[in-house]
Amino acid sequence: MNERSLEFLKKEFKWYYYYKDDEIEEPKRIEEREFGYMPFSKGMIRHLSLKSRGELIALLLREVPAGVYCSCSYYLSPHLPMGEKGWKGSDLIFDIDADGLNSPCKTEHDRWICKNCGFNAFGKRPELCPNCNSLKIEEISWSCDLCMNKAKEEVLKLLEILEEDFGLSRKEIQIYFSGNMGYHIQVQSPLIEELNQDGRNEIVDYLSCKGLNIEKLGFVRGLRYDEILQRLSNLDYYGWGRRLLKFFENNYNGNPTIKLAEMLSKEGYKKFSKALKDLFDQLSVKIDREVTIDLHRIFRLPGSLHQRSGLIKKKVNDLDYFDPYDDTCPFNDEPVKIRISFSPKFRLKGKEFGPYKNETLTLPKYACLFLVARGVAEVEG
Amino acid sequence: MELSLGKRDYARYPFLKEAGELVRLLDLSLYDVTKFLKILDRAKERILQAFKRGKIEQELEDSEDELLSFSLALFLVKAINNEFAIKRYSLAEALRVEAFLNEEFSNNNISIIIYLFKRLFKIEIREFHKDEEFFFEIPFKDYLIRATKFHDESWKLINRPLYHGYVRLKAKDLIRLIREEIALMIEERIKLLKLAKFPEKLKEIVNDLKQKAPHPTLWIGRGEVKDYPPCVKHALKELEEGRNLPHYGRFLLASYMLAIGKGVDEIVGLFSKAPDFKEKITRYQIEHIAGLKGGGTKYRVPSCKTLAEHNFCFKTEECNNIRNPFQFGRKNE
Ligand code: SF4
Ligand SMILES: [Zn+2]
Ligand SMILES: [Zn+2]
Repeated sequence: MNERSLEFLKKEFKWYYYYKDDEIEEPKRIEEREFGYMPFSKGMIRHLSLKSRGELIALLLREVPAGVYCSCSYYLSPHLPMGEKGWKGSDLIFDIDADGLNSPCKTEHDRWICKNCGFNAFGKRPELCPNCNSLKIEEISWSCDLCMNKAKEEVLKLLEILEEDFGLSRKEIQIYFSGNMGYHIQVQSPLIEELNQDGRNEIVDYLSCKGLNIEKLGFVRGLRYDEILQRLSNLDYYGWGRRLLKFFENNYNGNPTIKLAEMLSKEGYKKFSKALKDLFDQLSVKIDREVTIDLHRIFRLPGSLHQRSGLIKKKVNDLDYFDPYDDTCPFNDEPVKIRISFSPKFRLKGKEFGPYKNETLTLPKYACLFLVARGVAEVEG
Repeated sequence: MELSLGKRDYARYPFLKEAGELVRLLDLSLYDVTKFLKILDRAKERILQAFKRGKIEQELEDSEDELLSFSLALFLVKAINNEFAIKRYSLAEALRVEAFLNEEFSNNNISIIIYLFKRLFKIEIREFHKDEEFFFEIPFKDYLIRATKFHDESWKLINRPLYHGYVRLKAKDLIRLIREEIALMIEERIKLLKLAKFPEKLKEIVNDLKQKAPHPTLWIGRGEVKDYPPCVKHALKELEEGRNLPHYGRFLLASYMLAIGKGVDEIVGLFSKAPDFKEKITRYQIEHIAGLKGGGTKYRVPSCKTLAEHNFCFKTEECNNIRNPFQFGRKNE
């Protein structure tokens, strides 16, 4: 990114934090949280402690950071080094990223770009730039309505299990658009606050349907049809048993338990268990394990801007009607001239843009900011 | 629900009483020698059963004597003053409680189980009935805090019925969950005892018990290991003979020894004969595996499959299709 583009981003971010500070959502128990921020063009600064909303807003205005972050954990002394902070507990946070869902649209919008000469193309990144032999190759993932809708579906799956199986109330769960390509789901509840890494790992296994022993559900090898039927009578005790029954209710006629028992005795154990495993893979929630089990992680602050998009990390009140590329872009449509190396088609504030390739254009400021932040365009002057 | 506990309950769950009975015991030794000797015999028996079999059996007819024998045994174990003896004794007492709780369940004394969970660990468990099926329900948080210490896949949350925040368990599993905590509670109690006025005549008995106390190597962590698995034996032999271990060998040995309850110092010692031994680095690595350094992640013992992939499996018949060296030679927990 050149100097002019950087100045452009900084100026607009500053405007945002100055005029739109009421978008900023300060975390609960602010004085027990660790804060960090990333200045434009410098590394992360961590282990900060803030006492109030006022201090937080002051930091944003003083530093105008590219990104600002807050811990999922509560500490006695958030400003001390990690080992000495005194961990008190953590919120439980899930990250669902459109990029990780392997949606078929990925090949249409993901690219790589050579940071040395600007050469770029679709598909898998090469080791060396075929144009200039540079190693400085960056992958640029993109998202579209298709993969963002897939991410929404994952969020819905997650909510259902958190409520039905884990008994968490909807009031304890917040959904945020991450500001870029996915959603953060944050649980604040005394039920999970004190859980350590091992406990959280088990929750992740549960949600991703990992380690499930289908014999526990009643699918035991080498049983007769009537014995299987008998075993399956408690299928609905198990969370994944309930979801299996529901799937069969929605997709097949007749009694799901009978259908399952028939399938098992007809197809044989090996084939059946393989099919079952594939189905559970499909039904499982696609979350990022590392994010959820890391108690030391800091997360983008709700209401702050994402430096790779210029969009707000925004609370989602009604997931059905939430539009991540409309409700989250705070900038206006003053014309700005930019040079775009490439961009797939995208939609912002209800308008379609692109695709572009090696062209200089004048576009509304919000679209320019998005492209510059993505690293695929530079401001012309 | 308030439950009124009887003498028999206190004899079975003696830690429910405050530990202040030594004074009374000593009084007793002055005016009712027969009674005192009976209690002393039972206290000795408790300790020896724990040392020898890891389990305490039988109980005295007289509930009060039985209760007092527990208190006296705690003092004697304290006087033996050997970390391993304390651990072994505490676990044996915990197993005794576990057996009683299972018996209560068979006799339909559900309320005492619910009471103990609440009183000792502040866990609110409840009953779940459907047709002839009976389960206990425990909040998933209280379940996870304990079950994540078990290695068997049946303890994984995903393999348990979970509904509206509660895990459903059969009585046996529910009771199994708190074994280590009861042991710890007894251990704590022994450690907090003060031995200031320890009577002369008991010293001889203590000396005798000291002789019979378990040697550190016989007692390792929870559950007993009679023999190490072939892969661990191989690693030890290589070190013993002064050869370096490959990465997975080192990782296996350290994580295995930690899992069975060995201390970092002891494990560092095992590596000291390796030609490339550097104490500081080895110690750091072991502390890292133990989750004391770095990200705080505790590493589990690598699976047999992983070890086989790295050519560090030396399978024999005795491995008996286990999935993790940790399971070697153990009764099913
Ligand atoms: S089967 Fe497992 S326990 Fe036995 S030698 Fe191989 S790795 Fe070790
Ligand atoms: Zn290039
Ligand atoms: Zn897409």
